[in-house]
This record gives sequence, structure tokens and C-alpha cells, in this order.
Amino acid sequence: MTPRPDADARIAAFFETSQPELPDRAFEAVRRDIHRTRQRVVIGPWRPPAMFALARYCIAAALVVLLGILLVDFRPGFGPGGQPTPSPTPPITAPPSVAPSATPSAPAGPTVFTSPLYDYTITIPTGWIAAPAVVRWDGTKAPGPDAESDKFVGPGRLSAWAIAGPFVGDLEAFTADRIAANARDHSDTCPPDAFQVKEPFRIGDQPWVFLGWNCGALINEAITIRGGIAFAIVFRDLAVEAATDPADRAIFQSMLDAVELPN
Amino acid sequence: VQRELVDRAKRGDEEAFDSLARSVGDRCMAIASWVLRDVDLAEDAVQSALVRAWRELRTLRDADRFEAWLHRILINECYAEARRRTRWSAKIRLLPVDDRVETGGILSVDDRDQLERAFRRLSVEQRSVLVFHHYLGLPLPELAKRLGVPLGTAKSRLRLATGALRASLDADDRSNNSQERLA
Repeated sequence: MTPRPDADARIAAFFETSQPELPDRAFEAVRRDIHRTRQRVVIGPWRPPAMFALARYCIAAALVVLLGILLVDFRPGFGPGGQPTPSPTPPITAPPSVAPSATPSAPAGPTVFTSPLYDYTITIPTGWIAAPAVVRWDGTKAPGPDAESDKFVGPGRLSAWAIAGPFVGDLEAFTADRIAANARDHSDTCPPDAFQVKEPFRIGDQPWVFLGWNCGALINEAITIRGGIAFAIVFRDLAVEAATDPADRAIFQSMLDAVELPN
Repeated sequence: VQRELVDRAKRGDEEAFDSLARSVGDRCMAIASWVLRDVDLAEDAVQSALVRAWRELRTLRDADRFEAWLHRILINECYAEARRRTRWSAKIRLLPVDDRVETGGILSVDDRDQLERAFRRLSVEQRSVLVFHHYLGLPLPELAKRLGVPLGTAKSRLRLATGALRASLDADDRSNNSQERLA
């Protein structure tokens, strides 16, 4: 009897057995699909890859603590001896770049906010507070009210946020990208028919597009492109279940009217 | 050449991406076939992976890593297909046994059947490790990177999966020896 090859040799031989090739119809299907599929747009530089996870956690923890302390200080009735209560909304505070006349807790009037990261200015309505973005938007997700956004929090259930970043393409392409990104990233909460409004408008000489979604809450977005930089300003009212609302539109428009983009 | 094709495809050149897909498609199909052991599911997984690769291509930083990057996408698509197969198990069309296989005489038909059965009993994660190690010939650190798992996890999966295949062959050998003694 001839000795049998050892098990490892037979296992290696097993993986040398031929496997089916990808048929032409699959390549053709891929070709058709990619023709209909828009490539994901990468906006802005990648975050530095060398940053250690621990450092990120430390920075995030420090920011949360700092924002929490500031929120307690700024909210009426929350002095040193006050009894804090849990808040369902993230702690927000005024950014260092808000005009000196403004105070975070109760600005006397509309406040001009200059974005430290994105360098645009916007008018914040009376009673709103702002918090600047802490990291640049990496372009891999739909703009949301998180660390990449300048955040603005109003009374009731109103909020807004803004981001900016380099974009290859015109305003129409950016508009399509934002609509697609919303469908992609928020399909769990936004039904397919959520997108309802698309209106071009101008702020001065600058062309913008107004977009409106009903995602169980009012989501309005104003977008534009200038000098290869795309800007998106989002307005949200959790108390309104519609794509448009006259009162909300008026507030949002008052914010947009004085927007100044960097040259 | 592949780097140039990747760069062109990143700029939206569909022809370049088609060339890329044709250059790596068969290898992807082989990987998916090994992992899923089902021709139709493998084809679906490769198609989905290629379309997803096109969509995400601009997020690929190093064009030289295109195929490694694609393999990671492919494996995730294979896992997704495997989950769907669990739900729709009635639709399985099994990979046919290829009697024309040439393995230099090392592998008998019985061996292949034993290995095939043992291989199918493994989880898709264990199969993936075996395929990347034996079929692609990747060392463990690269294998772990490509599968997106820690090195220790890859080692553990490879050890368990290889052990399962060895055990199936050992059992077969013992059975054959017993029969020879009885004869």
C-alpha cells in the first residue's frame, strides 16, 4: 500500500480545485448598474489617520464635560446650588467666534456667527445659541447635527446646522448629491416620498437651492457652491410634520438673508 | 496599469472600471464560490461588490490596494448573501462537483468529498479565512487586514477551520484502515 499524503497537503490540493468564472452577463450587469450609480462624493480632506483612538476619546470626553459645565452655567436657574435635570438635547454653548455683543444664554438680538472652520457668517435669530464644529466634515455622510457641523439651537424643537467642504461639480450636481445622500443615510426615518421641495433662490448674487423633506419632522436645507466649496445649511423643526411651514420658512430665511460666504 | 485604471475610474471613467472589473472578476468569483459554495449566490455577491466598489471608489486612498480593498467589500457581500441564504434556503443551487479536477493525484475523490462536506459545515467566516490563506496564499497579518478582523481572531479561525478539515480526513483514513484490516 502506498503511503497517503499528509492531511495538510491534501487540504492545500483541495483549494487548487477549479472554481467557476464570472460569466459575461455578470460583467454586463455591473456595467449597466454602474452607469446608473453615482459615485460617492468625498468632500474635504480625510481626518489625520495618525490620531490615536485613545486621544480621540479623551478629546471627545473633555468636550462633553466642558459643554456640560457651560450649559449648566448658561441655563437660567442653574447656578452653583441649582438642581440639574437630565436634558434630552445635546449640550450646546456659544462659540468663541460669535460677535462679542452676544451672550450664549440670552442674546439681546440677532447675532452674527462666524464659522471658525468654514469661514462663512450667518445671522442667528434672537434666543438661539450656537456651537461651532470641532472637526471638519469628511464628506462621508449626510450633514447632521454632530461634531462636523456648526450647530444652532433655537427655542422649542428648532435647530439648524451648517457644514462646508470642497466639491467637484456644479450646484445641480451638489443638489443631486445631497438628495441622494439623504435617501441613503436617512432611509430609516425618511420615507421615499419624503423629498418634496426643490427651489432655486438667490442670496445677493449667489445662487442657492432650497430643499425640503418631510421626514416625520420638517427638514429644510439651503445649499450652494462658491469657489469649489459647497455649503449646506440645514434647518430642522421636530414639532412640524411637513416639508414646508410658513413660520419655519420665515425663520430660516431670516438666517439665510445675511449669510456671507468667504471669498 | 491597474493603478492608472483605478485613477481613471475614480474620475468617473466607466470603461476603466469595466476593465478593472474584468481583470479581477474571475478571482472574485472564485473567492465568493469558495465562501458561499453556491454559484448563483457567488455571482450575486460579486456583482454587488463590484457595484459597491464603483460607488465607494473615491474613498479608496491607495490605488495600489484596489484588489485588497475590493476583497474586503466582497467578503462583506458574501456574508450578506449567506445571511440571505439562511432566510431563503429553498433557493440554493449547490456548486456542482467537478470531476475534471486535476490535483496532481494527491486528492482522491473520497478526500475531496470529505473535505467538501467538512468545508460546508464551517461558518462563512471560517471559510473566508481558509480561502484567503490557501487559495490566495495570504500570510495571516495581510489576511486579517483584508478581512477586517484582529490578527488573533484570524489565527483562531484558521486554527479551528484547519482542525475541522484535518479531522474529517483523519476520520476517513481511520475508516479506510479499519476496512482494510477487516478485509
